[in-house]
Amino acid sequence: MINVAERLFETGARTCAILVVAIAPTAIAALVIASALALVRGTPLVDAAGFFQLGGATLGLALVSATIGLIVGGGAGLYTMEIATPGLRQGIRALAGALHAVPAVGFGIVAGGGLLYAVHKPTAIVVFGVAAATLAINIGSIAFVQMRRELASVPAGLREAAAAAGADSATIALDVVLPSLRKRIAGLWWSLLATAMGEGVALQVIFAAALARVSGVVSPHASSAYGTFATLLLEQGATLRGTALFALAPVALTLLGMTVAAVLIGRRAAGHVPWP
Amino acid sequence: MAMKAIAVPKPRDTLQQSVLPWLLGVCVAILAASAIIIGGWLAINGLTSLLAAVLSWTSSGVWRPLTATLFITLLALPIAALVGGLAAGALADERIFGAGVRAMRRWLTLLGSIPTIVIASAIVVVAGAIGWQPTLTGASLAVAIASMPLMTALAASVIGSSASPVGEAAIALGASPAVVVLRVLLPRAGLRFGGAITLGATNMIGGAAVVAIAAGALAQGSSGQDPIGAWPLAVQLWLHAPVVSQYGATAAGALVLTMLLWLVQGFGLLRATPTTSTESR
Repeated sequence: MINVAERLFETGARTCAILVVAIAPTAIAALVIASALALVRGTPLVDAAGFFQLGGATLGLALVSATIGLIVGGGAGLYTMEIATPGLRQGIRALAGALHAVPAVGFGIVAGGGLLYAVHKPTAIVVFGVAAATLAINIGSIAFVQMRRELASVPAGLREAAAAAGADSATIALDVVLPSLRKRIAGLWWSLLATAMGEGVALQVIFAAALARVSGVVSPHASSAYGTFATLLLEQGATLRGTALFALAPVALTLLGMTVAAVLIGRRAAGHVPWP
Repeated sequence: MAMKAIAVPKPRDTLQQSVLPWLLGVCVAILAASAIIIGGWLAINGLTSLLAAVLSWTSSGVWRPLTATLFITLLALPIAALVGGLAAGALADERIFGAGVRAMRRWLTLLGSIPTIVIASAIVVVAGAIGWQPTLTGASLAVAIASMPLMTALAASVIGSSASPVGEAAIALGASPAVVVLRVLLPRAGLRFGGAITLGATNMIGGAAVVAIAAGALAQGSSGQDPIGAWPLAVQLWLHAPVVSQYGATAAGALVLTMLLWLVQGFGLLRATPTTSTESR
């Protein structure tokens, strides 16, 4: 016999699950309506050319940083968990943990500081290079943690069988463990790509610092010179108020579409895309 | 019947055998060097300003921004943890949703790919439409909403990892979904559930985007800092990062925030006891 408290729990749990699952459809509905209103008003945040430029920068930075981040973070994770000696493993894990604790704004402050104090004024290519490298390290620290989780899912028997056949730890890592994770690593790349596309804080600090160094103007609005969809959303979202915010919606909707597409394509290609 | 030949893998040549582990070592070196460079850079630039930042009670010091960070976290975390925990409970026992639970789980993993900046934009668009100008109190609600999918996923993974045999045994004995979740799965998840909440808290402490957008950190005449009168530390750092004359104070603040996150994250990881042999290595 189910009592009142149990019934209350079930109703509460069901309501909360529906609430969580409804966040995305509600956000999409709000953004679609606001996009329509922004189009009717004819007050876009960026023109068509600027839109494609931002889209290209978003995708380009995300592709480069997800790929480099996965190689660096995933490779470091594989070495740490499969090849390194126990003492070295502890040291690497401590350093990777410290890197993982650095907030996005911290990455931006360090890279932006490098640009602010640079001897020469940075060119656009240098700015995007610094942004890509910073994002790659940020993503790499996430990839390290994710790779450890994926390695934990490999059955211990697989390693034991290979070791019994005389394989050393490097051979086990590269010829046994890595091939068994091929699909999961592909899924991880798609997940990191989605994460990289949505990163705005670190990149915005870098772009604002570059703008300050190049033009001498200290302004948080750097996306007029450099930018991605996420940095534009961050700048304008923090600046605009009232119904002027409707102009954000098409950009937000496009970024949402890009990240969801990355996960859906990843699911089709790799079967599983882990939580970022 | 034709027998299928088993392909015996050819041993890799010596060069490949020595180069590949070396390349993996380079990846470790890059990651370790990044941690040292970032920590070193913040220490070199921030240590001289650290004392002034720690001793100051103005909004340019660290204490008032830390108070704002604490304010946001204390308001948002219980909401996100409660909703996330209950939602994870509903997803753990298939009798609560029936056949739809698998679709909900798949949908939840898709939710994780949506950037928090997009969720914050949607929230602020709705707020703008109804004429609401959130302060830090309202921003904490936005943070809670943006964190709910993450909290649900963390809680679901903690509960799910201890679910199958024990949960099935409880169901076979006739336990209701509430009893299975509250008296069987949650106690087994135990400290790891606390660890999941702590890890969720690090996202709130280190995140700047949602608060900056929701409370209008750059809006003219914004009263978004009310009722604390200062922005959370991450937002404060984001606002002052490109100012050369304040770079030392910004680096000092970043150092404090990183140390805080490192401590909270370490605390969370200590509580989230590893379950597999590989994890514990």
